[in-house]
Amino acid sequence: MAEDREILREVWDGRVPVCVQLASEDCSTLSAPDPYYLMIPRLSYFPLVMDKVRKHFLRFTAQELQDAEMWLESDGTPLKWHYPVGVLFDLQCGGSALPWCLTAHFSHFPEQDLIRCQTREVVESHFMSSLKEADGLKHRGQIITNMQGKDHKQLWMGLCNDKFDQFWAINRKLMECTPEEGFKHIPFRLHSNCQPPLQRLIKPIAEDGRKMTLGDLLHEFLPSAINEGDRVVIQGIEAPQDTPLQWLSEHLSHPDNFLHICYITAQT
Amino acid sequence: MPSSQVFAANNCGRVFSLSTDQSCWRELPYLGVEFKRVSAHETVLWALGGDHQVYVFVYGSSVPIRVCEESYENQRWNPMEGFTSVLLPSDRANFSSADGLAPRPLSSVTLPTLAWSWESAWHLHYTHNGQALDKEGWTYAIDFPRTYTAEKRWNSYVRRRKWIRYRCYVALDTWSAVPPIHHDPAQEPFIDISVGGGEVPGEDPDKLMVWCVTALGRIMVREGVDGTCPEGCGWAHVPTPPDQDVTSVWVGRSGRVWAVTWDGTAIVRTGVSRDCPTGVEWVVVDPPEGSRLQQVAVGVNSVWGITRDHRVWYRRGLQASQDTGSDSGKHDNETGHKNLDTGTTWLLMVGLLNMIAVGPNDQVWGISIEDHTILVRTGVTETELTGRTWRPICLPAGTFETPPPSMNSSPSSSPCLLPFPTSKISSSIDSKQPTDTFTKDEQSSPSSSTGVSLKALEDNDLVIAEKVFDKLQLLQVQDAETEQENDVKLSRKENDESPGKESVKNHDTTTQNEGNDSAAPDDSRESSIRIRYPEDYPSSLSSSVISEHGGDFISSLQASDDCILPSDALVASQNSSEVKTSHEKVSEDADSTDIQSRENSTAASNNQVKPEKQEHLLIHAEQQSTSSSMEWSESRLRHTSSSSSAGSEAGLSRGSLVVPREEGANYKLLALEAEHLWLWVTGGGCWIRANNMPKWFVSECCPALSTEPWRVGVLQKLRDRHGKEMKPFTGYEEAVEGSSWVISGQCRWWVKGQWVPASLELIMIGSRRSQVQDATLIVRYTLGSKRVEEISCSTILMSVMCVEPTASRSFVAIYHPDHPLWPKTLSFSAETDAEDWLNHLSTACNQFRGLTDQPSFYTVWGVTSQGDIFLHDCSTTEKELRAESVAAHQRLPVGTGATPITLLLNRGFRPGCFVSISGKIHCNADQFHINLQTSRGTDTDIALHINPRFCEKTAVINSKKKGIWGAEEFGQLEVLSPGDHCEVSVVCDDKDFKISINDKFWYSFKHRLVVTKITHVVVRGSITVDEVTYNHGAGERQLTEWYWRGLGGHLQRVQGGAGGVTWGISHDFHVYTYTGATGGGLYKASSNDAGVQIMSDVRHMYVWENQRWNPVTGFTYRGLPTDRHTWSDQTGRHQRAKESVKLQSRHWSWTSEWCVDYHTPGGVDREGWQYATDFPLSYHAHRYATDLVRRRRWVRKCRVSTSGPWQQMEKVALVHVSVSPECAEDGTIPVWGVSVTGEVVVRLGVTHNKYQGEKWKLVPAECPMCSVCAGVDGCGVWAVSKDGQAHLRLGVTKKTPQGVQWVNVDSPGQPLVEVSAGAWSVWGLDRSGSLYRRTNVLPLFPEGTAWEWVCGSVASFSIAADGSVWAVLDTYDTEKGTVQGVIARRVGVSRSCPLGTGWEHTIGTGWSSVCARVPLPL
Repeated sequence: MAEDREILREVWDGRVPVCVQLASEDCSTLSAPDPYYLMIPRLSYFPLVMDKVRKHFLRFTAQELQDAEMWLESDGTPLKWHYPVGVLFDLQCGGSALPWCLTAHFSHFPEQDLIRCQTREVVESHFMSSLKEADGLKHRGQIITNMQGKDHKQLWMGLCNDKFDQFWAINRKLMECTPEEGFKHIPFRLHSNCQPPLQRLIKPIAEDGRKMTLGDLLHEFLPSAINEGDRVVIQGIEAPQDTPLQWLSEHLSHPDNFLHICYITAQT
Repeated sequence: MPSSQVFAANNCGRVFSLSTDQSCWRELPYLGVEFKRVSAHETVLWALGGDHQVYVFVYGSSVPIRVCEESYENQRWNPMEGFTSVLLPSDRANFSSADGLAPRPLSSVTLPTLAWSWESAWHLHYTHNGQALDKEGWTYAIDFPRTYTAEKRWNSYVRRRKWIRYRCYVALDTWSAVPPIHHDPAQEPFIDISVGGGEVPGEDPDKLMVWCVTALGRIMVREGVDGTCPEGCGWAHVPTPPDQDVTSVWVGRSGRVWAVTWDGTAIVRTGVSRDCPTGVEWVVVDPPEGSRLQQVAVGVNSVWGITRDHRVWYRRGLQASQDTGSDSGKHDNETGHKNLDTGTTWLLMVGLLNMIAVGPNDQVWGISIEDHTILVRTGVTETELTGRTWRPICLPAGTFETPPPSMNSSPSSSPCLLPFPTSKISSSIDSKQPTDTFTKDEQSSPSSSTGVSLKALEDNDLVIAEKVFDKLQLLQVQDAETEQENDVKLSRKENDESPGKESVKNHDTTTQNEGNDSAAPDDSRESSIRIRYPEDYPSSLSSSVISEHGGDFISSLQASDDCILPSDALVASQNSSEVKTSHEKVSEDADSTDIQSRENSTAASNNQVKPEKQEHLLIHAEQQSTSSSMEWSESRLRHTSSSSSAGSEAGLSRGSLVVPREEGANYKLLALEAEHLWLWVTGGGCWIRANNMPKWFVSECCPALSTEPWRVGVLQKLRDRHGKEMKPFTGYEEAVEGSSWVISGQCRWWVKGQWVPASLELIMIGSRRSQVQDATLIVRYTLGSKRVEEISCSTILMSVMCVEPTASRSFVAIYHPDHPLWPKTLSFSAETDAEDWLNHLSTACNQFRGLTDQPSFYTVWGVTSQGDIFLHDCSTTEKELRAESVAAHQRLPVGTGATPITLLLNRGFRPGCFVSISGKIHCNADQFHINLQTSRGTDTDIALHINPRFCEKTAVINSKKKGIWGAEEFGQLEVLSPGDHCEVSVVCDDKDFKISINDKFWYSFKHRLVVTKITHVVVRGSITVDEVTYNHGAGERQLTEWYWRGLGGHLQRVQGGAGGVTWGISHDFHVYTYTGATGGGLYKASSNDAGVQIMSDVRHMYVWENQRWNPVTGFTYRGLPTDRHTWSDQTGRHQRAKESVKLQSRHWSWTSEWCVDYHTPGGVDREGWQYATDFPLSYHAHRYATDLVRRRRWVRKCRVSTSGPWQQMEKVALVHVSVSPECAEDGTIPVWGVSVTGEVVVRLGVTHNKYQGEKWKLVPAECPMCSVCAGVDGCGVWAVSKDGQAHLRLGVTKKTPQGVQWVNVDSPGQPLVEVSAGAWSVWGLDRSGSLYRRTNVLPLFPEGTAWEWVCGSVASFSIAADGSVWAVLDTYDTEKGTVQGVIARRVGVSRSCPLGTGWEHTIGTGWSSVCARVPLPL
C-alpha cells in the first residue's frame, strides 16, 4: 500500500474530549463528585480507557455496586462499548457541544441495549474478530491467518497503549494490496443513528476499471438521497465524495480495519 | 532509481520521450524528418527516418563529447641548420601520428561530420609525462622512435612536439543524419535498425552495436560507435545465408543478435563477443509452428517474437550469455552456445501486438494491435522473465518544446538550421569560429530557401558535388515515378485492413490519388503554410497523414504478410521511402503554399513547417579526409554543395512561381482530432523494475496523490478536527498515558573476545507523537554469571550495519564515546532483524536528540566504503552546548557574605567560563581583593588578583606564581567607591581575562598562568558579598563525541557547500542532490520522508587470476609454493575465489556474470592479462621475455536498490563534484564537476533554495581532468588533470565565479589525485596517499611556490573554508591495533606550524570519504 503517514498519524492522534458525570442515582455521597474530564483516543474502545473514571467514581458509590459493571450513557442513549469511541461520538454528539457529556452508571444495566463487558479480554476478542472479518473481506482472510500470535498481540497492544508505530508495523501488512486490483472488498459499516449498522459487499474498483468513490458507496447503499443538512462523517470529518474507497479504507479505517461511516441526518 | 526514458514514434512520425519520473510524453525536437522506427540506448537514440535513412540523437549527456586530435611535428638535427623539418627519407613525416607510422599534416585533420565542430585552433601541448615543457614544447630523443625527454642533450638528434586541437560533438539533443552506405542514399535505403551492446562481457559499456537492415535484405553494422563517436565511422556488411534476406534485426544488450528473414524464420548470430563484435555464423531458428515471424526483440536473458498474425511468443531455453573471456576453447563454446543463444521452443503468450521491444533488465514493451497504445509487461523479474500482464501506458502527449540548452557554451544548444528535404544540405562549420557560423546560419536560412552556408566548403567539393547531384536527380525522378504507383497500391491495401472510419478516409485518399494520377492532390487551400503539427493540423489532412505514415509501417508488415518476393519488397520499401527529392517538388508542385501530395506528405510538411518552426536538421556532411575511408569522403557533403549551387532552382520550391494546382477541398464527415497512434516504441535506455514501476500508472503513485484535491481536503479537515476537538482541551487528562514502549529481541553480543547469546531490550519512554524522552538499550547476557549492560541512547553516537554474507550473520555496530573506534557489536542471524534493530536504535537516538528536521548548513558529511551516508550537524552540537551552558549557570553559596570567602569552582575554569561577584563595599573601605587561584590555601598560585586600593587611589591587577608576584598592572579606580554596590565579573577568554565592573568593561589582563588550573575564587577585604555566580561555560565537544546521523541512499562521495547545497555521486557516476529529507533506505520510521526517492547504484566486484610461467607448459596455475593464490584479491595476500565473492546485503543483486576485465589499470593484452617479472612487481600489458608471471582481473557487476533523500540529476555522469563553500556575488553557489570524459563543468544557478541549479557550463581545459575543488574567493578553484598535474583557475572572484583561465601548477613529483583549498591554504593528495601543502599561497600569488609533504596514508581529504583540514586516514594506529578508514581533523595548525602536528580522530572506521567545507561561523 502506498502509505501516507501524514494522514495515518493525524487519524491516529484523534482525541475526543469528554466530561463524565456520575449518575445521580448511583451516588451514595451527599455531594455529587466532580465530573471527570478526559481526552479519549477516537480509535479506542470505552472499556479500555475508562479504568481511571471507574476508579474515581467507585469511591462515591454504594458498597454493593463496587463490583458492578460501569456503563455510559449519552443524552439518554446507552453507549455500545463495541463501537469505537470516535464512531459513538460522531453519532451521538457530532461535535455540537464540546466536551461530550457522558453519564456513568453502575446500576440498572440496560440488558436489552448493551452487551456485558466484564474484562478487557472481551474487547480484545471482539476487536480480533472484527479484524479477521475485515481481512476476510479484503484478502479472503489470508493475511490475518498467516500472522503469528505475537503479531496479533502487537496490534492489540498497540491499540491499548496508543502506540502508532507498534500498531502500524503490523497493520501495514493488513493493508497490502496490488495497486491494480485493490482489496477484494472494502470492509465498511454504515452507521446511522436510528438503524443498526449496514454492511454490504463493495469492490474498490468497478467493472469498467473505474475507481469507486465514497459517493458511489453512498449512492448505492443509502436508503434515500442525502437531504440537505445530512452529514456523512468518517473519523469526524466529512470526506470529499470523490475520495477513492480504496484509499479511504487504507487510511481512514479504524484499527479493526473497518471503515466506519456515520450517516447523520439533519433532524437529529 | 535514476530516471530514464522510453521513446516512441507515432503515426505522424514524431518521436516522443517519456521519463520514468514524469507522466507526460514529451516530443523531441522536430527538425523536418519523420521517423518510423527508433531504438534507444542509455545515452543515444538511433532512428530510421521516413526517408529510410538512419539518424542519431544524442540525449543522454549534457557534458559535451570532446575529442582531442593530435599530431606530432618531427624535426631532425643537421649540422648545417640545426633542427629542421627536413628529415631523412627513412624518417617519419614532418607531421605524423604519435607512432610516426601515418603522416598527419594539420590541414588533413578534419572534422568527421558536421555534428562536430572545432573548439579551438591548433596549438602546442606543453606537458610531457607530467612535466612542463618550454615555450616551444619540444621533446628530444636520440632517434625515432625512442623515449623522448624534455631536456635537450648533446646527442638529441631528433625532436618532436605535439599539436593538439579539440573537436566537440555539437549535435547534442538534436537529430543528426548518419551517412548512408553508398553515395546515393536512395540506392540502398534502410528498413530496420536496432541498437544494442553495452553489456557485452568485457566490452566497454559505451561501445554500442548498431545493426541495420537495408531494403536489399542485407544486414549492415555500423562500426566504431562509442561514447566519443556517437555516430560511428563506417558500415560493414554482415553476410546472411543465401536466400535468407532479412527484414528485421534486433541486437540485445549482451550482444545477442536475432534477425527475421522474409520467409518468417529467425536467424541467430552466434559467436558475438568482444573480440568478434559481428559474430561468427548464423543459426536458423524455426518460427512457431504454422506462423511466420514478423519481428523479434532480444534481451539479455530473453527473446520475444511477434508473428505476422500479431501473436506474441516467448523463446524458452535461453540462458544468460556466458563469459567469453574464459580460456576454454572457442569450439567447445560455440557448440555449447548455440543452444544458449537460440533457445529451445516458442511459448505462446497472451495478447496481440503490433511490435514488441525489450529493454534493460529484460523488461518488455509492446504496442497493442487494437488501439495502438504502448504496453508494459508487468512483473518481469529475473526469475519470472515472462512477466504477468500487459499494462497500457495512457498518458498525455506534450508537444514539442524547445529543449533547454544543454551547455550554453556549445553551439549545439540551438538546433541547427538546415532545411532537410530540399537539398540534403548541411552547413559546414567554420572551423575557427563555430559559434559565429551558426549565428549566421540562423539568420540566413529562414530567408534563403536553401539555407546553405557555403563559406567553408572548398571549391573542388562543389564541383564533385554538382556532378553527384545531377546523378541523384535523375535517379530520384525515377524513384518518384515508381513511388507513386506503389503508393496507390499501398493505399488500397490499407483499405482492406484499416478498420472503421480510417478506411473511409483512406478511400477518399485513394480515389483522389487515382483521379489525379501523378498529380499531387490538394487537401485544403486554406490550410496552406501553417504549422500543421500537431494542434493545427487540419483534421482532413491528419487522417491522410495517419494512413500515410501508418501505411509505411503497415506496408512493410503487409509486404511480409503477403509473402512478397524480395524484389517486390524492395519496391515497396522504396516507395515508402518517399525519397525526399526536392527536385520532384520543384518540378511537380513548386508552389510551397500548396499542400503536397500525400505521397510526398512527409516531405511536404517538412517544407512548410520549416520556415516557421525554425528548427532544422543537422546532417552530417562528412568532410573529405584523406585518412578516412572512401565512405567518409564520398558522403552527402556532395549533395550539400550541389544543391546549394542549384540554390536558385531550389528556391523555386518556395517561391510560388509555379501556378498552384487547384483541387476541391476534401472534408471529413466527422471533425475528429488527430488520433495519436503509436507505431514504434523502444525501452532500450529505460530502466524500470517490476516491483517499482514508474509514475505512469497513477494509482500506484503516492506522491501524485498528495496533490489530489480529495486528499488535500481530507488532510485539511483532519487538521480542522484537531483544532476543534483537541486544541481547546489540552488541559484534559489523557485517557491513555504515554507509557514506555519496549522492543525486545535476541542477538549475540561481543564480549571479551567471544559471541555470547544475549537478549536485547530497547526501552523508550515518551509521550505521544513518538517523542522519545529517554531511551535505553539493555543487553542481558550470561558470561559466567548473569550480566546486564545498559546503554543510554544519549551516549550512542552512531549505529552502523554490515552484513557478513559468508557467515550469514549481520552486525549492528554501536559507537560509544568510550571506544570511538571499536564499536559494541550486536550480531543477528537474520538480516531483517539487524535492519529492524538498526532502525529502532537510530530512530530512538534521533528522536531523543530531537533530530527530525533538515540538517543545518554546517554539516560534515561522511560516506563509508559500504556506500552508507552519515552526517554530523555542527549546529546541533552548538545548540546542545548552549543549552548546557545555560544549565551550567550556578549561584555559589556565600553564607552571610562576610569576607573572607573561598569558593570552589567545581567544574574548573577555562576559556568561556566566567565568575561574577556582587557585593557592597564597606563605607570606610580601604581595599578588597578578588583572587582566582589554583588551590584553597593562601600561599598558592594566583592567576588573577584584582585589588582596588581606595587608600592608594588605585586598583592593582596582578598574578602570583610560586610565591612571587608578577608585574603589577593598574586599572582605573573611579568606577568603584566605598559604600557602593558593585558587581565585578571576570570572563576567561582565550588570551586574557576580561574584567567588567557593573556590566561595563573595565580591564583586560593577559593570561600569565595556565587558566585551567584555577580551582577557587577568593574574596577578601572590606566588602560584603551578596552573590557569587559561576558559569563553567559550554563543555567542549571532542570530535569523538559527535553524533552521526545515518541517511538512506548509496553514494560514493557526498559534497556539501554553502547554503546547505549538497551533491553526491554514486558509484555508477550518477549525480544526486540532497533533498533535505531524512530517512530512506534502512531508516524507515522517519517523520520527514517526503523527499525520499528510489535509488540504485552499481558496483563492481573484482577477483584476480594469477599464473606463473614454466618452461614446459607455459603459463599455468601451478605457481611456486610462495606464490599468491590462483584466485586472489588485489594484494594477492588473500585467497578470493569467484564463488566466495558475495553480495553486500539482501538489497543487492548481480547484474552480470564474471568476465575478464579489459579495463584493468595499467593496460592488458588481448586476453586481459598483465605481465610482470614476478609478483608483486609492476605489471604491464605487453609480455617481455623476462616476464614469468601474469595476472588478470575478473569483474562482476552488482546493483543495489535502495531509497534515500537524494534526487537524481539527469543527463550527466560525473566522476567528481565539488560545491563551493561560499556564495558568489549574485547569490548563486557554483558547483564544479568533472565528467567521465574529463571535462570540467560548472553548474550555474544553484542557490540554497534550488539545489539542482539551472544549467551546465563547460569550462574547457587543455587536458582531461580527474578532480576539481570549487571555491569562490579565498579558496579558488583547483583541478587535477588525469596525468596528475594541478591546475588553478585564475580570476575566480565573487563577481566572476567561473574564472578566466587555467594555469598549470606542477605536481609534487608524484602525480596528484586531488587538490582542495580554503582560506588561502591549498592542500593536495597524491596517488600514493601522501598529503601535501602548497607553500606561499597568497591572494596576490595564488599559485604558491612548492608542495610540502605533510603525511602519508591519507585516503581522501577535505579543506573547510576556514582552512581546517579533514581527512580519511587509510590506516590509523590505536593501542588496540590498526584500524582503517578513520575520519580525522588536522590539529596543531598554526601560523608558525602550518602543516599541523597530528590528527584528531572521530568515531567509526571504514569511512571512505569526508566533506567538511562549511565551518560553523564563530
